[in-house]
Amino acid sequence: MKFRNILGLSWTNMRRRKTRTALTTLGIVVGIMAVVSISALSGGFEAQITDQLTQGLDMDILTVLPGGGILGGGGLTTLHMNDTVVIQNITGVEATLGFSQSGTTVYNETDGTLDTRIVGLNFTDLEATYGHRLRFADGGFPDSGSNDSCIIGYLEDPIAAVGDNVTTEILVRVGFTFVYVNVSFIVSGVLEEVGSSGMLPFDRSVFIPLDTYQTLFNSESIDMILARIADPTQADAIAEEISTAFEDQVLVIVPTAIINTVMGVFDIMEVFLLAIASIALLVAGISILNIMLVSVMERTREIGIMKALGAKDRTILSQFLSEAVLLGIIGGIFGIIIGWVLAYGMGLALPLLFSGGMTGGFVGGDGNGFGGFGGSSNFTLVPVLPLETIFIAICFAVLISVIFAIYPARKAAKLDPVKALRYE
Amino acid sequence: MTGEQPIQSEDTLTSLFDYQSRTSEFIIEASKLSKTYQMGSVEVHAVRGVDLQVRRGEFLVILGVSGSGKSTLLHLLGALDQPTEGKAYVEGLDLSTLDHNQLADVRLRRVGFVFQFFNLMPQLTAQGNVELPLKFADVPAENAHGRARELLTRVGLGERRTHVPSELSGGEQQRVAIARALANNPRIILADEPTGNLDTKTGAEIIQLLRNLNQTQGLTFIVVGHDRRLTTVADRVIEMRDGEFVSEREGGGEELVQ
Ligand SMILES: Nc1ncnc2c1ncn2[C@@H]1O[C@H](COP(=O)(O)OP(=O)(O)O)[C@@H](O)[C@H]1O
Ligand SMILES: [Mg+2]
Repeated sequence: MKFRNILGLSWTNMRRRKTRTALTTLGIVVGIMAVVSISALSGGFEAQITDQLTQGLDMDILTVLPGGGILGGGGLTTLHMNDTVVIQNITGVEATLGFSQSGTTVYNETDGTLDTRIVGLNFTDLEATYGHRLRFADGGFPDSGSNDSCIIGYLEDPIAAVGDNVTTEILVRVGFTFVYVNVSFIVSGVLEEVGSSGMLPFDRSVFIPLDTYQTLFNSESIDMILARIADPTQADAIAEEISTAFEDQVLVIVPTAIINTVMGVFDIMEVFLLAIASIALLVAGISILNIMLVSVMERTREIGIMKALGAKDRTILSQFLSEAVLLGIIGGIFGIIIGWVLAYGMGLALPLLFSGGMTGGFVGGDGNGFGGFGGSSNFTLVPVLPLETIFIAICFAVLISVIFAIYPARKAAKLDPVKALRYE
Repeated sequence: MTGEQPIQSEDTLTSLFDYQSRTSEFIIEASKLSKTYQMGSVEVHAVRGVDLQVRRGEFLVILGVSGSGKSTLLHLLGALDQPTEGKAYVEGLDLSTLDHNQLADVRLRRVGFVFQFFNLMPQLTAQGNVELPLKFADVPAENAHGRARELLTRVGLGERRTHVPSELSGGEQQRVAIARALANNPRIILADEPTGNLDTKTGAEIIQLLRNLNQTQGLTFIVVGHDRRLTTVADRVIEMRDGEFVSEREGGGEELVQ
């Protein structure tokens, strides 16, 4: 019997029992729906996060922090400017930037106040490390040697223009007491918006010369050193070298490692969820087995008739298997459609649910830190469903239903026609 | 004999038949044919040592009460069941030498079955039911369609082709079943109580239809049942009791007068 005819007969049979067909495919629909929505959602989530992380993390910047090991148990307690020389000397490192920062309030007599962070660094190092990425909206780097100039990062409502005086109030230790000291800077340049940028957020920050910063805060150390490397693919090797140069007393953060860690978590989650979805599909398969066995029993007489008319065993076998194929395809298609709609709906709903927690909470959340979901506003989750996944899902649905139909189909094919014809 | 074109595509048995069928003048033969069922510790001898020879174009009627073994015999002769002892020959071919698939081919192309309860596929229309064996035989769709149409017209159901069995009367269903039995142009029709489930008048119509097919197409008929009217149209009548042939006589060989 030709395959087309077998399929045609299967289709007739399935249409005759619409409710049963629907119930039989239901398991497949649910299973495929789960697989598709999970993988579409996590695909979308992964794309989103990779996107944000790669935007937020400069892939060619390594961060060197004091302290070895993960949380710096032991190790150096502080870094100093001369440590940058050690790093600078390592092959592959293009430029280094040591800086310190602290939170503060900056105000301008005319244009109000700004809660921000004040960052002390050498402007020449800043230019060497980030120069190609920084654009001045107005002004530029201060003259070298000037110790009372500052650069202001991008602000939606600027509080100062080039040439203005801004004042910052700093808590300073004098002997055994703390006093607030007002320090004024002349604005030499205002930056354009940079967006998120790893460990050193530019927007909303005020940059002053490192010497001035260290004098003000009475400190000789720096918080961390950023190293720009020529080739991001060498990041791990260079990080290793830096670590070795400091006798493993520093912590070197490699941006790709952060991404890999986050992606690793996603992979584990995905495997876990897919395992659950697979169980759903297994259950679907068993229900197909069950319903098909009932169906074979009910159709015993029909099978007997077909055999009396000259149908071969393999015709009966392929009859039932082709019904399973159709069930799989139908179930798969509905599963994909419903799964996609579900994923899409959840993609819209999830960000609303989590908008508070996610934005600040993820990775240190310092408003602007780490590109942490772009400051809360536009976190969207668009599910990703590649054609490949659709194809695999359909194949999987068909495979499951065919595998579980083999036993009933064989049972049908092996029926003794005489007994089948006498069957009431 | 009409000049019907062979419509089947490829028959795996053709060469076997060509070789063997010329060796016998009988279209169906049985020698010491027996079928014993084991019911727990009890042996049921449904058919015991039946010898039979059926001529080409003969209308043979086998009468017997219920349980006398008629259906079992018919199944054995139609390659639907295997005997416990003895041999059955269809068109000269020893069925005991055939494998599973070849037996299916005998049922597909060499014999046509007609049953008491019609045994139509409930989900298929009359047309679909007649096309089914043609599809089993891989007849191309257009040919199958035309052939089924023609057969349904021949049994008087040209108008009701698109109806499913539940929309047809018993007589109409039996006509569909007859058309279906003729689909692959077999030379032998085996009918198991074809009137057993019909009212008197409709039963007579069906008997007359079978007799017409026998007369006009030269088809060989073995009809079993207990409808005495069958003896009127039969060429030969065999009486069966407890799995054995107990008597044999000439039939009326006439048309059925209603
Ligand atoms: N599968 C079977 N198992 C046991 N006994 C059977 C089976 N099929 C038929 N028989 C018995 O064989 C005998 C002949 O049955 P059957 O050929 O159907 O007779 P008929 O068609 O003349 O009524 C009956 O006694 C019946 O009960
Ligand atoms: Mg019977």
